[in-house]
Amino acid sequence: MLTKNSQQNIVWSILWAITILLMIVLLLLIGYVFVKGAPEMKLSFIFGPTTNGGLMTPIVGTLYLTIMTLIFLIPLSVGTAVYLSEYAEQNWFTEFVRYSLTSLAGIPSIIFGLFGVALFVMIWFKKASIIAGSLTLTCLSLPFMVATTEEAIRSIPKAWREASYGLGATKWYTIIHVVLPNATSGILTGVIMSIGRVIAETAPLLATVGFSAFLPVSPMDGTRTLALHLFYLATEAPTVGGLTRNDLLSQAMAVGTVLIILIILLNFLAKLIFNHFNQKVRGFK
Amino acid sequence: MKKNENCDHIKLSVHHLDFFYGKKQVLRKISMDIHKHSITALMGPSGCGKSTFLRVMNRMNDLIPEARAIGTVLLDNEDIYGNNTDVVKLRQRVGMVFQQPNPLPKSIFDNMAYGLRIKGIKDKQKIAELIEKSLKKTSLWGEVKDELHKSALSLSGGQQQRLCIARAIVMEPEMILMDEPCSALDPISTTKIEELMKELVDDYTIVIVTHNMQQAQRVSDWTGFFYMGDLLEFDKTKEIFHHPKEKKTQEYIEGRWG
Ligand SMILES: Nc1ncnc2c1ncn2[C@@H]1O[C@H](COP(=O)(O)OP(=O)(O)OP(=O)(O)O)[C@@H](O)[C@H]1O
Ligand SMILES: [Mg+2]
Repeated sequence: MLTKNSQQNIVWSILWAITILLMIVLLLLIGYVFVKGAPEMKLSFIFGPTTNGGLMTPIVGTLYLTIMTLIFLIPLSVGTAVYLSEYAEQNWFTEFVRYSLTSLAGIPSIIFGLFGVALFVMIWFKKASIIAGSLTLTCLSLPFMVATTEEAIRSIPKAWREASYGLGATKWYTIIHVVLPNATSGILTGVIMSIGRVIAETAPLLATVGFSAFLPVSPMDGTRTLALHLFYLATEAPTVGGLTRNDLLSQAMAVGTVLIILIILLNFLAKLIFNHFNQKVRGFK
Repeated sequence: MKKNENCDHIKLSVHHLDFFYGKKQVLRKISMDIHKHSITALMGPSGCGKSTFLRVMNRMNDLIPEARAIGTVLLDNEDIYGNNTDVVKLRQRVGMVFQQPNPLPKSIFDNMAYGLRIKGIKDKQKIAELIEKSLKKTSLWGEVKDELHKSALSLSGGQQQRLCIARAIVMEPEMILMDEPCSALDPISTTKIEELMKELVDDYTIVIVTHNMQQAQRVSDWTGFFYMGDLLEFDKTKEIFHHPKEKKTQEYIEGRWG
């Protein structure tokens, strides 16, 4: 018989080993991309015009698309979550809406791409554009974002609402001053996941934002994201300027490096903004 | 305990109140008149419906979807369960201190200012003055005056409860409902709160739930004794404690159970 203590030690060691293993795999993966991409990581490549093979358009396009998507996504999903948890009567209809949202979360993103093409590209905007792409991504991220926000809203203690109502607050005032400020962590989780999707997805964007190499100006312009550019590099035959397969591969790795750095930066930025917002609404200066 | 029409000295009058959570009835045919500028104590064993009854008076139970109140509750002769009652106004007129301290996850200052801002008071100077006055009344001022911008959640349980009392008082309601306000407080703070109640009663009407017989005797003018959803006895506090009419009341007071 093992003592309680040595049992604990064994469990602890196993967990520790798993964690370390995971870390190593992750570091290897990122390290491999970074090392392979390093020879190509020149400023002239990263910030060079895409018509000459640089990454300017994919970087700008990715950021543009991220921002546009969040502009649609945050108000829509927070509004839906507030409605579902605070206003809607809890009946078969709200259950149905929730169930639909959960099912939507499991649908392959290419289906959303098809839907985006059918509605936003063919009917609304008549061309592949940033706005069509961001609306498509909004549909894609909405289910998850609503779920995390609703979860956060539901976990707010009843006592806080009571305190607010007890001081004569209306429902709306309570939502603005108590409910939402304390749901920011849930909203943030959703935002970070959504940023990840904007950056990582290719399938729903192929036909909705297109492949344009030119710098986008208006939301009606098409563009390409880093992931799309990767896709392009990986599938294009080595014709441009006599580049070999190997050149293209290390270019792709460099794009991967930029992509990883961008994700880290954007998540960090999102956290900063939310922390700032959080402190402000809670009145801790 | 008959219904008082046109009685100037009655602040709130409950008549034939039945209360249900879903199908479960927790209050039966309660009638009670709360006198102006008096302290009314509600007593009784745990689970007999005291908190529920208290929350009837400012319609706090509205927040519970399956809760239902039937009967009349008149505040200054107006039915608060009537169709044209503004619940928000009602809760500003009838303030509440909850059984568990429930500061909002904001700074001490913002907790105090929360209701004032709802009332529409914008003047920063005025807000600060009102807050200082109320915090002094609950003797919290000395402890927190240098850290008003600290989170209210970082206060101790007793401090939180005093903050909640101050937060209710700063609104200058007409009536204050207190659900065991002293259960988390040390004897000194308790004495201070009791003194505060006696001071406030000149301007306000106070209803307090308490398990503490000494406290009820010390502060209250009227006492109601609840037992399993019934109001067994309601009378002047002296009468209840010295000449209880019901056997159950007497047993409870003598501490034989509960
Ligand atoms: N939200 C609710 N839903 C259903 N039943 C409830 C709810 N709140 C209270 N009850 C029930 O109503 C009865 C009265 O509860 P209440 O909180 O009013 O008692 P109390 O006299 O204040 O007790 P205590 O002295 O322990 O605070 C209890 O049987 C309780 O289980
Ligand atoms: Mg209670």
